[in-house]
Amino acid sequence: MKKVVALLLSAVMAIGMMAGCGTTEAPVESSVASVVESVESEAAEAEMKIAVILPGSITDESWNHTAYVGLQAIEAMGNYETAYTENITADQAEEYFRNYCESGYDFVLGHGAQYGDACCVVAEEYPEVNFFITGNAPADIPEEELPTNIMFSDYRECEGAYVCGVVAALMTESGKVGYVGGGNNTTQQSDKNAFIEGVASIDPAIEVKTVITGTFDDTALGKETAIAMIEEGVDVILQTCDHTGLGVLEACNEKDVFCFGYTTDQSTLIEKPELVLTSMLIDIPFMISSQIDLIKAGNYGGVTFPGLHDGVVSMSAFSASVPAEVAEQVNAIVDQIKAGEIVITPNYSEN
Amino acid sequence: MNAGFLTALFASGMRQGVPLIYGSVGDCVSEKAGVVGICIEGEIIFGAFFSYLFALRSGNLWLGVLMGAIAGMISSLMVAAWSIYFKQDQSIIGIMFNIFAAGFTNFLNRKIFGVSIASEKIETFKPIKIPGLSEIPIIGEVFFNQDILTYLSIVLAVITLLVMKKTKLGLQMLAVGENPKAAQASGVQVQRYRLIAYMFCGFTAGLAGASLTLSTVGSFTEVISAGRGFICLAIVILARWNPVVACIAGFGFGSIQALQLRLQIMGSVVPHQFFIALPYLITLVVLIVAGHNIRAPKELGVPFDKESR
Repeated sequence: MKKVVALLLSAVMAIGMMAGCGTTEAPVESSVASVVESVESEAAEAEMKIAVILPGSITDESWNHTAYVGLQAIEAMGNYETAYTENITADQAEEYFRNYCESGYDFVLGHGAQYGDACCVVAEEYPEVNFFITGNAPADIPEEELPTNIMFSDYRECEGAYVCGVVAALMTESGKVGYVGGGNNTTQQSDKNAFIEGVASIDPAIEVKTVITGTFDDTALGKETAIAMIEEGVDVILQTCDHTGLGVLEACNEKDVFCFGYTTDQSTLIEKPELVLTSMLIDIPFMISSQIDLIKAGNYGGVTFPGLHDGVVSMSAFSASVPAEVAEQVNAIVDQIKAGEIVITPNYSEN
Repeated sequence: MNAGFLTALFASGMRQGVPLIYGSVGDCVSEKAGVVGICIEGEIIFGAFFSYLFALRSGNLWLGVLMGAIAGMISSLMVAAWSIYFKQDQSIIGIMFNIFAAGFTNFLNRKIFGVSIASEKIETFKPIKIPGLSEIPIIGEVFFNQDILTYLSIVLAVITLLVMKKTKLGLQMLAVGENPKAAQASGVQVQRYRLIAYMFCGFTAGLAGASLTLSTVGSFTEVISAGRGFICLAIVILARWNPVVACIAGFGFGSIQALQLRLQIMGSVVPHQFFIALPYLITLVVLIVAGHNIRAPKELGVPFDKESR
């Protein structure tokens, strides 16, 4: 009997660990926060209860942090009650979506394309709740069969990656540029492929070295990855991998190699800001907070394709290292993308 | 494959190996005395956070290293209390502690540094060239042009081995892990020795964390250990509880990690998932091939009860 109990316990612990390796105390923290908030707002009943499910931690200065900022923006807009949960993997998402629905949330956001499948399942069960996915709709469900209470924001992050590719190709002296990705999801894959496409549009002879680190959390590994690239002669690196990417920036700072910022202006994160040629900005706060008006207007749901043309994706000001003629050429290409003259189709192939 | 490539590869392997060496050297001692160090992962996170905090606030890297090691040691006391004195299952306590450590350091990180400010960087340890030795081709660059924490890790492994094999203290530690009853009969206080061994493990795990923040990254990011503590456990078994072999195995694992990054950079038709899995795959294969007659300390993981017969 004792053995059985011990086995069961260790099984539970093992599962807890899988969920918990990356899982932070934050779910607890945020639920504490939401309890505090609900106490505060009980006097004036919250107009809408909003929750976000995040794949990483809000301190990553990148993808997850911007969603957190978006949530704060919503809170500042009026009488809204908000909550968030960090470090949720795609397989846990269904449970968390359902939990939030059960606890009376009116609007639940899944911050990542990987949550699409889980969201579709839960959305059918809770037709009165609105959902939002920061990413493309699952490819295996025809568009007309998608639940109508989900908004997929299939934003064109790859347009930004394409522009970075153009900048990299114009700035490289060695003829080798690099891309460091975190893992396997459609956004990452399309970023990588668009970067390669952007480089090739300037000079197909430039080599693009790519590494997928498999983790968004390992800063030290990110640094070693970038050092390995730099030793191979790479002199411009794009990273799109949160904490791991911070290590890439650190290596670029140390070895005086050009790099790009991802989702926020990351030139502030290193001592030599001129090395961050430009940052691919994604206005996630706006993307999230603008949904509230859509919900109130009553025409919610479907798939939208925000990108460079409507400012959800944008490029930050070029650093001092970028010569004026390069900046001009890049801006011309940005304008062409905005006007639809250059169309970048997300390419989700892995290799 | 020219000399330049190999030099860069192994130098990267050495840098990536340092936290693994610290973690596994400590775990060798603690497992020899009968306590499994599942919680190294969490102790590394504690060490990383406090070394960063103190180095940043005091501007002194060495104070950071010291406080990181002490933080690792103090956090190990918590686990030691449960697994040595309250005689609970060491694996379960260890796993719970790891989850606690990740959450608690995140909490402190956000309370102290906030979520929206770009984390402040500290000047990391710089490589020190050892005169003469660093001129040797390949080896010189790999082993004798590293930062001070790298040299310390190797020295620590050698000293630990000597203490374990050549001193009375070392032999008593072994006895405590192999046959605690006999040890007790000969007057060794089993639980006290286990506590000391386990605190040493926490101390070195703290150093592992300090090496991540103070010699590699220069700042603290959440869950910075990223599973390294668990790799240490595998390394200890591979090394058959010998700190110097563990040191070599840590270097080996780091080198395979460095190799997989370079293979990806070279580009191939093999999917990247294979390369990501490669270091772990090789660890498993080596365990299977070289591990057929591995014998763990006899009382490893078994809490000692003074009153039992």
